[in-house]
Amino acid sequence: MLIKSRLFLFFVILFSSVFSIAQEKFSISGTVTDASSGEGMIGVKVRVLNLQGVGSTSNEYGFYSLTLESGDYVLEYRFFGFETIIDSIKLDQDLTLNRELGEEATEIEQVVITSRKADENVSRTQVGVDNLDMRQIAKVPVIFGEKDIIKTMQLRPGVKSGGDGSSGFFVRGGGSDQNLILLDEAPVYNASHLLGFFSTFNSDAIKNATIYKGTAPAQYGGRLSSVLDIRMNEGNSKKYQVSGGLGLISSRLNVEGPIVKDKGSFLISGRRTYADLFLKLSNDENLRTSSLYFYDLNAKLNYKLSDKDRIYVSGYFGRDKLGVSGFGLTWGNVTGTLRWNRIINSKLFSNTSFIASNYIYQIAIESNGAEFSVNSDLQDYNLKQEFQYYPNSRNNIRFGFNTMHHSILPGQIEAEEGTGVNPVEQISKLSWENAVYVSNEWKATDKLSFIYGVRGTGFSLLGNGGEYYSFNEDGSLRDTEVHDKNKFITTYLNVEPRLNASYVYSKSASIKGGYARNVQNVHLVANSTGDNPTDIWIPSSNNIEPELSDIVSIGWFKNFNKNKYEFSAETYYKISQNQIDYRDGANTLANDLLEGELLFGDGRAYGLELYFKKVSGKFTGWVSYTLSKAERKIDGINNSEWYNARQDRTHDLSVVGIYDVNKKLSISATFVYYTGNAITLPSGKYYVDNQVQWLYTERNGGRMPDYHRLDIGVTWIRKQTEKYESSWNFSVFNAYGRENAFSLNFRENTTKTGTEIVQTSLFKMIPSVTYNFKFL
Amino acid sequence: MRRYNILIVLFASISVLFSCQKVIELDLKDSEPFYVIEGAVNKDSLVHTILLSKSKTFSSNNQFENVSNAVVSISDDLNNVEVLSEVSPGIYRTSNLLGQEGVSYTLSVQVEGNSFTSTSIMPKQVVLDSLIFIPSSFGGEGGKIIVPSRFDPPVVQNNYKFDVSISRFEENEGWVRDSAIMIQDDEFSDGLFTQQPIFGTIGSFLPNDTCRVTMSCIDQNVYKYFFSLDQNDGGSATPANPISNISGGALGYFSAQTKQTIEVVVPE
Repeated sequence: MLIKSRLFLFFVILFSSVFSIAQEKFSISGTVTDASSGEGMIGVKVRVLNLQGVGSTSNEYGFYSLTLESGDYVLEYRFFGFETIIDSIKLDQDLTLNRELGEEATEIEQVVITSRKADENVSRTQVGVDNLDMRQIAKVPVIFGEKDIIKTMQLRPGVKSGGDGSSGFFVRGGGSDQNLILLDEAPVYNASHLLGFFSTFNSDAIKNATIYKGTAPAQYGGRLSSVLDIRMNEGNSKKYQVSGGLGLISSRLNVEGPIVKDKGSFLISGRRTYADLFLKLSNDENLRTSSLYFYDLNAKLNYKLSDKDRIYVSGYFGRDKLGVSGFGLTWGNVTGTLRWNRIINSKLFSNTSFIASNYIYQIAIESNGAEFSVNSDLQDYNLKQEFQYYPNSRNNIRFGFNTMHHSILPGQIEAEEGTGVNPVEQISKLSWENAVYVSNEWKATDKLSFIYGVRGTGFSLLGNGGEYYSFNEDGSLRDTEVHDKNKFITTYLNVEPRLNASYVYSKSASIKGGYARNVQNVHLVANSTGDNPTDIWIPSSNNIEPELSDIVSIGWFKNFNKNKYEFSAETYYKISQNQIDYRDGANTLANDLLEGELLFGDGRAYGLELYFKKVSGKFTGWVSYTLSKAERKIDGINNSEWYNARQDRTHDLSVVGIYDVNKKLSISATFVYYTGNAITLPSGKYYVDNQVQWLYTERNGGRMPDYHRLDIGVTWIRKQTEKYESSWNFSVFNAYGRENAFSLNFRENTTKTGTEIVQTSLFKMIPSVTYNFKFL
Repeated sequence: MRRYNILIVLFASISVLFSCQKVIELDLKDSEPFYVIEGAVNKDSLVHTILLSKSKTFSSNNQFENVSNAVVSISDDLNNVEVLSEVSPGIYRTSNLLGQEGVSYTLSVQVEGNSFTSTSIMPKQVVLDSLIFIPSSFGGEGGKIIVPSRFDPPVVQNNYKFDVSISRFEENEGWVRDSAIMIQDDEFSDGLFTQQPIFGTIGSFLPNDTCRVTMSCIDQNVYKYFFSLDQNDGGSATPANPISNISGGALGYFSAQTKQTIEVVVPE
C-alpha cells in the first residue's frame, strides 16, 4: 500500500508542474494540412523561432495548439519534404491558424526515409519508436513487388521478421501475438494474407505507421511487446484521383476525392490477387482445381461538420480463400471505426471513437459428399474517449478511457448429416476490458523532456451461461461451474506506469531512456512454425492470469553533418510473467478443456539495437543491426529450465540502399542476414513400430541455418504530368537464389541405412513487375 | 479424430510452385542412449511380444541395438503373471497369458539396474464393418483414399489405431510396399456410424492395389502416445517425444488392445 500511495504522490507532483501560475496568456491553434490533398498532416513541427525550444507538434488529426504570453512571435511550420511556412504574428487574443503545406519542389525527387523533421532522431522524447511514411517506403524492394508496410518495418532495428511466408513479426524478444496492430484504432487480429506472403495493409490506403517497441505512452495498452499504430489516408479533399497498379499476381485500385471541396472527402481502395491463375497452368489436377486468393477493401469518409467538428468513418474488409480438393479455408478481418474530432477550445481537443473489429476463420471439409466445418469468430466492440489538453507551451496532456467488449468463439463444429461427425456447439466467451489513462509530454527545460503517465486497466471474464472449468496441476479437470450470462467471474486490475525521458545535451545528440509496464489480457496460443490463421485467441480467465512485462530501455542518438546522417544505439532489458505455452501432446481442436492444456512461466529478453541512416542526397538508406537474446522458463517444459524462445535470434542485420540515378530512375537494394530461429532438433533416434522415430532432449536447443537474402528493385517513372503519372516497378526477391530454410524434416535415407535432414525452402528468386498509374 | 493438417496440405500445394528441397548437414547434439520398449497384449491371444532396444545418435546407421538379458514380466488383474522368455536378442514373448477385454495388464521390465513399468487396460472390441474407397485427387489421377467404417458405441470413449499397408506391383520396380499407422477417436463422432477417411503419410490407393488394414481399439494413454507422436509431423514448432505410458524414463509404449484385420483388393 505504501508503494502505491508513493506512486500516487509522485504523479501528483509531476502533474502539478503542469498547472503553473497563470499570466496573461493566449493560444494559437489550428490544423495543418497537405496543400495538394487536403489531408491532415501528422507530426508537423510548429516552432516559435524567437523563443528557443518552444513549440508544438501536430497530432494524429493534424491539430496543434500553443499557449504563449501576449507578444510578437515568428512561427515556423516545418515537415521534411514540404515547404516551410514562416508567419509573423501578434498575439493579443486566441488565434486559429490553419495552415496548408505544399510539397517541396526539388531538382531530383528526394527520397526521404522515415524522418519527419530533420532532427527528430535526436529531439523526440519517445524512446524505442519508429515511424514509416508510405510515400517514403515506395522504393524499398519487396516480394511480388507489392510494397508492404509490415515487411518494410521488419527491416528496422528491433523488429524481426517471422521468416519467408510470414507477416508475423517479433519485437524485442516478444511473440508475434504480443504486438498490438491498430488500423485507424481498430485492433487487427491477423495481419497476414495468403499465409503471410502479404500483409493485410494495402499501401494505397495507408498514410502512416508508427511502432512503439515496448515503451509506448499511456494512451496505448493491451499487448506486451509493441504497438503498431497504422493510420489510413483520409482521401483527397481537393480533387478526384484514381490510381492503381497491375502486377503479376495482384492488382489494386484506389479512388479518392472530395465530397464537398475542402469539407469532406472519401477514399476507396481495393486489392485482389490472382495467384491461382498460375495454378491452372499446373499439370497436377489437384493444383488446377485449387483456389488461392485474397481480396481486401479499405474505405474512408470524412466530413467537416463545422470549424470545430469533424467526423471520420473508416473500414476494412478482407477475406482469404484457400481450397484444395475437399478442403477449404476462409479467413479474414473486418474493422470499422467511427470517429468524432472536436476542438472544444483552443487548448482542448477531443476525439471520440467507436470501433468494431471482427476476425473469423472457417475450415470446411467435405466428407462422404457432405460437409462439416470448424468455425471461429472473434468480435470486439470498443469505445474510446481521448482529450488532448495544451495548458501551456511546455505541456501536452492526454487523458481518456477505453472500454472494450470481447466475444470469442474458439471453434465450433457444424456438420451436415452423413458426415460421420457430431456438431459441437460452443458459446462465445465474453470478457470486458477497461482502461483509464493520463499522460503528459513535458518539456522541463530546453534540453530535458519527459513523457510520463499511468494507465489503469481492468479485465473481467464474464459468464456466458455455459460451463467454466478449473484444472488440477497436471491439467486434469478439477471442477465445473455454470455461470449466468454477464456475471463477473474473474477480474484483474493492473496499474501500468510509463515513463520516457530525453536529454538533448548538444545540438545534435541526446540520451533517452524509458520504462514501461505492459499488460496483455487476450492471448494467442500457437503451436506451429508459421502464421496460422487457425491459431486460437483466448481471454484471461480463472485459469489464465494476465501476461505482464516490464521493460527498461536506454539509448544514445546522434546526428552528423547537418542531420544528413543519423545514428542511434538503444539497449533494452525486459522481463515478462505469465507467458503461455502448450503442454506436450495438447489437443487444440474444438477442445472445451483447452485451458487445461496450458502451462505458464516467465520470459526475459535483452538486446542492443544499432542504426545508421543516410537521410538525404542521391544515395539514401540505412543499416540496422540487432544483437539480442530471448528466453523462457515454463514449469513442465525443458525440465523447467530456461530455454530459447522460438524468436530468439542472436544477430539480425538489414541494409537498405536507394540510389536515384536521375529524376525518373531509381535503383534500390535490400540485404538481410539473421541467425536461424531457435528450434527443437533431434539428439538421437530410435525404432518403434517398424519406423525410425526422433529423440528430443532439449526445447529449442538447436538452430535453423542462417538466413540471408538480397532483393533488388528498379523504379522507372515513365510519365509525370499534371494529369497523369505512370511508373514501372521491377524487382527481384532473393536475387542470388539463396535457399533459405523454411522447414527441416528428418527422414530415413532412400537406402534405409541411415537418416538425413531435408531442408525445404520457399522462394528461390522471384522476379516481379508492377505497372502503377495515377490520374489526377 | 485425427487432426486435419489442412494448412500443411495447402501450404505444400502452394509451395510446390516455388519451393525446393535439399538434403543438408546440421551439427546435432548427441544424447545418451535411452531404453525403448514396444509391446502389446492382444485380445484372444496367448502369445504377446515385447521388444527392448536402445536409441542411437542421429548420425549413426539404422542398425538399432536390441537389449538382451532383461527380466520382463506381464501380470493382469486376475492374478495371472508370466515372465517372458527371450526368444531372440531383445525379443521377449509370453506363451500362455490370455488377452481379454476389460482386463488390466501391467508390464515390468528390469534391465541393467533400471526398472520400467506400464499398465494398459484392454478396451471392448468395436467391429470394423468394412473398408470403402472414395476418390481423391491427392496423389494423382484415379487415386482413392480409404474409409474404415464402424458403428461407434455411444457414451464410452473409443480410440482407434489403424495399421495400414499397401502393396502394388509396378512393372519397373516390382512389388512396392508402404505402411503407416493412423489414429482416430470419437470426440466428434460418438455413437455414430463412423466413416472418416484416413489421411496420413501413406499415399493414395490405386485400383488393384492390395490393402490391408488392422484396426485396434486402444486405451486412452496409448492413444495419447500416438496423438502426441502425430503432432510432431511437419508444422509443429516444438516437436517433443511422444507421451509414453511407460514410467521410469523409457521411450515407446505398451498397449493392451483388440485387433481385427481386413485385407482387400482396391476396386476399380
